[in-house]
Amino acid sequence: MNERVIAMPRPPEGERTRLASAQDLQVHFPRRSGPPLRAVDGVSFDVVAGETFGIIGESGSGKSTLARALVCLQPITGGALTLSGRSPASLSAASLRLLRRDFQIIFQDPRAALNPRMTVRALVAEPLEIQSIGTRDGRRAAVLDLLDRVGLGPEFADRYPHQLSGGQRQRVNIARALAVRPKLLVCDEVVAALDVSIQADMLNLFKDLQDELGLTYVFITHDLAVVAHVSDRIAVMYLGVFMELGSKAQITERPLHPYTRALLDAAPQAVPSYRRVHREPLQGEIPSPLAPPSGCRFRTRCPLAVEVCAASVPAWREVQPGHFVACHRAGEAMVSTDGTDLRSQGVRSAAR
Amino acid sequence: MSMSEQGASGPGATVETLLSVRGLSVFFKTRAGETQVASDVSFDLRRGERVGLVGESGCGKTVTGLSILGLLPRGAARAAGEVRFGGHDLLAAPERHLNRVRGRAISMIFQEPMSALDPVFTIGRQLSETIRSHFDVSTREAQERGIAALDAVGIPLPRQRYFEYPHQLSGGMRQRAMIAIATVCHPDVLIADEATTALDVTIQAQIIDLLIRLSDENGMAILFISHDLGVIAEACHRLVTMYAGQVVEDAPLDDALVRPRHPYTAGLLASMPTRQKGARRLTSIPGRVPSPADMPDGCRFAMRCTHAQPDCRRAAVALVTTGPAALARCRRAHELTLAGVAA
Repeated sequence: MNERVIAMPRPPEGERTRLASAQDLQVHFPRRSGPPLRAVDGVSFDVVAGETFGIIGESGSGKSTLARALVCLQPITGGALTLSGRSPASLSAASLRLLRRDFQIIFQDPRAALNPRMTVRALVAEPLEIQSIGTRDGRRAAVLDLLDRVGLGPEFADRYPHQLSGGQRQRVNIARALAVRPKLLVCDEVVAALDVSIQADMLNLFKDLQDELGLTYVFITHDLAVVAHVSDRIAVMYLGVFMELGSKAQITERPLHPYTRALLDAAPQAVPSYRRVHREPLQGEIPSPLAPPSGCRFRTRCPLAVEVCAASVPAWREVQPGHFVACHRAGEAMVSTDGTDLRSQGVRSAAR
Repeated sequence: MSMSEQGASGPGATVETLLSVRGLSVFFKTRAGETQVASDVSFDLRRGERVGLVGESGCGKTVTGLSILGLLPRGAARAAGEVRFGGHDLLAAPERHLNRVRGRAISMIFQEPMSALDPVFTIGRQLSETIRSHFDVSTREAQERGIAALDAVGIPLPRQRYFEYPHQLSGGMRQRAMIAIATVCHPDVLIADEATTALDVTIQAQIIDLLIRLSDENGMAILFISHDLGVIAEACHRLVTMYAGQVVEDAPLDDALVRPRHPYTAGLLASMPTRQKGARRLTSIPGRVPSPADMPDGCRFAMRCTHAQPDCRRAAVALVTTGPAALARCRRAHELTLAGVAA
């Protein structure tokens, strides 16, 4: 486990503020019998102010548990989490409440997050009341301002959640999260349930809010096209650990891990020349997180797995500045079946 | 794989038409009277052809799929028009005839396998029930056919899985089991309604490949209903775009993607984030789908269309021919040059 902590991903540019920092972060869930479920099993990364940090993974990868841990909704069981330079575990309840203002989260199902018996006005005012921000009149004005920011006119203030469309409900959730002026917003599958045109609106809105308010995002999704669109840096998660982390270009054009390659290959493509018709999909399914494979957790589905992959956990190493990978065969993975060296060409060539 | 051999346009024009939907309209009964949710929908499915039916929520694609098999809720919905299949009009056919067609000649699979599989019966029981309701075979023979079907959809240890219950299978395996039940009688047509939507991307790729293989091997036609143009682009020969209950474009897949003829198809393509587009701002479609109760008289897309002219709002727009086997419901289809994806 320790070898993974040796290399710490650095902020991409010099001395920018680290808003959140995870070091060998673990979230284990105890079970009545047997070993604990290791949902997040040692991940290390920094999120720097102003960036969008994308996390991509399939179901069971632990990405939502990690999302909850980042905003202190889920206690961590190992490693360290630092938010704005402070450890949430060491804070008093009052200081923690204040710290949590800065770290907000939005979930996939906008309906489940909204109390159906409250109006939009009351829903957006609620976080302000909980955090005792502003006067009653001040809060009234703040609510309308927040709704305007997320593209909802004042006529929406007196509606109830059931009177809104899916996209409008998600906008109310964003307004609620923004009410306390957070620095970092964790977005857990926030566009997954939306139609493609509404999804485009929401992705544009996230970009606008980032430009206007200087927000930092941790964007968690299973959708590679979405994560590649919004992110500056991307981490690839599988069975509780990171497989690879790098800039958007490093991950989408020059991936080093066979799992990253497989995800890129599997993503359906509308562009005729990028389609995956000539690529073999990854075999098998994600193993149970209750009994992850020994050594490299991806080895049971990996087309390049050899003996060493079962015997030892691959080290988390920095292969190029800012580009981290945990794979015994990283680099070799870049030679395609027809012998072409893809290291200089990027993954698109692999599809041809 | 097959797509390159067959060409993206799919089976040639000489291949027989299996299923022909003609002027299909679907009405839902409401307190305020009837609401029309699908209007004059027409398209064909030929042997071995895979047709993608795309559109946003509420465009009528699911009710179109359901009405082909007479699965709309009786009493609450009404379908008009024709669904021609095997010399019969399925919309006018008695329940007795539909029961012979369902699961035998035309099958359907859904997004959520757990809602299609019965949790209290083994996978084998559900397979043999399907077989024995259409063929007069022994239990033993039904079992062998069932196990062969599980094997054909790539379920490991089919002889063991046959005796297991749905909850004992993983999500991807359940999807395969549902496909096995739907295809065990070697249907001519499979209707797949968002059948890969809830799956992880690596499993989704496996299921798309499986459906393509089953279709190529047996000449089974597939109607792929999906909101995901990427999935349809990977699997289909032809793209039918629906908007507000109408077919607005029907064209060979690559023609529709590279050179869309309807602004709505172009709008869907522009909304999709792709890794090739980079961090560019996405172009969304302004406004919302009109409510079925409040449908405009003219072009139904005009109020959201950046190319709309006053004439577009005056009268209903008919489908016009835009190329060989290509139709679009746009007055300006011939003069507009709309951006699609790169060729």
